[in-house]
Amino acid sequence: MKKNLQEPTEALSGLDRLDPLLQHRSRLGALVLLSGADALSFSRLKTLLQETDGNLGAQLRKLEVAGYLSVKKEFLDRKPVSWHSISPAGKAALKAHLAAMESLIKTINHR
Amino acid sequence: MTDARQIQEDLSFVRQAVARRERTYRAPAAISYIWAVYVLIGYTLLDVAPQWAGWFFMFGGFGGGLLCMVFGKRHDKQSGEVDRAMGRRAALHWGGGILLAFLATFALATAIPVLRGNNGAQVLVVMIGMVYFLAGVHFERHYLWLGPVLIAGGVLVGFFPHHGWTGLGAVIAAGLVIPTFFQSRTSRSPSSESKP
Repeated sequence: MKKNLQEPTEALSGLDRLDPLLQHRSRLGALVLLSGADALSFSRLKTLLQETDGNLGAQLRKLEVAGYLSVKKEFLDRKPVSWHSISPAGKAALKAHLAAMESLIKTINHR
Repeated sequence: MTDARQIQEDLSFVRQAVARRERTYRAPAAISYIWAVYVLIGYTLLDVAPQWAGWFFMFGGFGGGLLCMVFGKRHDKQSGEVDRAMGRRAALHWGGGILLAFLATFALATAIPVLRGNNGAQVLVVMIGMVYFLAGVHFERHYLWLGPVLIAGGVLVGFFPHHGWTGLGAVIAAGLVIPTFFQSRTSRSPSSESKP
């Protein structure tokens, strides 16, 4: 009985802790992929996430503005390459977001 | 408001992207070619000029390791994925594993005289076969069968007094090179991009 009363509170708490910026799947996917490597090129991210140039560029820009990732540009064989790396703030945000998702999923599964 | 279905779809999307990354990871083929040449020359030397084989394996091993670093870095840039942790893990596995195999064989040979010379080389190859097998567990799948082949070869070479090592070297070199022909050529995109 007591457990049932707590569930809506737990679910709400999980929702509150979700990072609004990471509720877009491309941004979440990009951050997850970047957390598993030192750096990924824009092209590699585009292939893995199967996004268009414009959409991915816009989503990555939002993450960059929030300080979740850093971008380094260089030329490789005279072609521009943007290298994206997750920042410590991005790692912390991803960890908190995934914990909130886990908490939500556990609450849903208990119902 | 984020609902359960949305979360489920987002997680599925992320899982697919991560699986795509794992599925398309390939070690640079140049590294396999370097070690194929190293094995072919080194094992042939065991038959034709055994007094030079040890020196070749030692200096060739260091040289091959340095070349692997250079090719690995270049491959990272071209494939659009820099993963230094993976490089460090591979270096620890191969460098550490083979060094330990060598030290273990040397220690055994010190205590057991019969393991000196050609017998010691056989023991070393069997141990390196284990390192190959573990590379199959952690890195590239084709080492799962190449490891046991090397172990069996290390034992069987004792039954072939002439050109046994050369034959084993050729088999292992082929085992290193052939899988690179079956790697997906479109698995990784070029790093050039239309929009940064």
